[in-house]
Amino acid sequence: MPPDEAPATPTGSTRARPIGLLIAALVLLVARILLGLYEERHPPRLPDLVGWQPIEGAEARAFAQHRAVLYDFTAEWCAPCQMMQREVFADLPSAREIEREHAHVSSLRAVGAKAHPRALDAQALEVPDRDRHRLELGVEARARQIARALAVDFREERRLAALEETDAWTGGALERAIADLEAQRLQRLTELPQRVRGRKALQKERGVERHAIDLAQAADQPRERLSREFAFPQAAPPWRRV
Amino acid sequence: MNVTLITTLWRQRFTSAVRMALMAMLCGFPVLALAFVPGAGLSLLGNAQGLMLTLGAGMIGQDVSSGVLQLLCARPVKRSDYVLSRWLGVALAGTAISLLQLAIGAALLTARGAAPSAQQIVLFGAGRLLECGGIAAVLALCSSLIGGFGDLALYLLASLGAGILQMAGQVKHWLWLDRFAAELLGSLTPGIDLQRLVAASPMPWFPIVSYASTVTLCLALAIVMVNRKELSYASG
Repeated sequence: MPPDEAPATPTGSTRARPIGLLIAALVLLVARILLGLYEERHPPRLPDLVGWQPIEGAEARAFAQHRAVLYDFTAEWCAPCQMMQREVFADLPSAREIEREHAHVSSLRAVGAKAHPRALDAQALEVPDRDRHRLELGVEARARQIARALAVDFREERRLAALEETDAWTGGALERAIADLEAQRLQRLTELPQRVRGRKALQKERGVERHAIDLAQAADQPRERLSREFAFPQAAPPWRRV
Repeated sequence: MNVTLITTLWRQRFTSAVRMALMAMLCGFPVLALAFVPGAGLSLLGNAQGLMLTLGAGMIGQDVSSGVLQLLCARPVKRSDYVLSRWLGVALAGTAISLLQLAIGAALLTARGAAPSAQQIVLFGAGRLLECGGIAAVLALCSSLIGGFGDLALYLLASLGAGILQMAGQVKHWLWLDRFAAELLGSLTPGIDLQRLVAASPMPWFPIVSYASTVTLCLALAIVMVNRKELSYASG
């Protein structure tokens, strides 16, 4: 007669369905989609303790005081930029150090820049003190030269905005004018990288010049509409006053 | 969970000379760089993707190809336990190696007079823990779909495909494609940037839910796939 013992091994199917896990996965998937849609419209912001100033004022004061201008090129997609934001700009001692070293700091959101936005900082900081100011002014001058062509539609857009406020234009006329403006702007933006790529010699020159092109692109980029067109989250204001 | 399965997995993984050599290289070079690159921080240690791919490749598929799974399934072991034990074994091993690497890196930085803060160390370690768990779950799913080391090829192909899609989305300015590819890439390397999570205001919940969703979904699908496997016990 066989011994009357309870089975020592677990009973039931060895292929039990992971019902709990599947339900949890489905719930989390739905939550993920909903949260993704919500945070797309309400992106969380990282703190920034550096007193960024407008670029125009920085240029004049830097010239007078023989101090360097620190440009911050950044973009939502640039991982090192976000790291800089977290570890330096959000850190009070580091932010104070930046303001001590650089009497005038300017921040531009380099959405669409092709080169590494952060590299300019390193290069600007590595040059000897006596050369810094000249170098920075060189960057600025080069950038403004390239940016000039792109900046035209900024003025146009401001004019349109003024017209919109005064109701001088109505309905379709204004919309058509804005659509034309957007088309022109996109055309310029698609042409610029081609021009940059075509100038191979430029790439062999000092990195400062390459990043001047970034600055030029950045100068045209901080508009909310363009940010959306380029698939990046809504840009913050291009610069902030203390 | 089955402790025997986990320890068996560790024995299998850590007695492979090729795997050990690869892991030593992947973990050793960043530590060496940390020792000699001036101004370097913990971020130079990079992520755990290479380590986890080396450690987790073939975590289920290798057993299927070698016939071990047939023997195992002849025992009263639930297949879900098997999958979860493999996942946990790989994730724990990856985490242990990552923490060892972190400890050495932090010690080197301290010796150079650039000691990382306690918060940095904790956030980096916790981030690696999450990353190891996430990639191990993705590898478990890949490994349940294909035998041998095919999971590695599947993972790399998926990463490549997602990268190409993202590039196409950016070039063509197709927001939906860019976003889809970014999500796909993020799902292949699940992890949470804890430093950003702590610094951002308000705290973003999307990365947390996204991570949990990827891990649970991968594990659930891996169990379903292993459950559906019909194993042949015929000799030869």
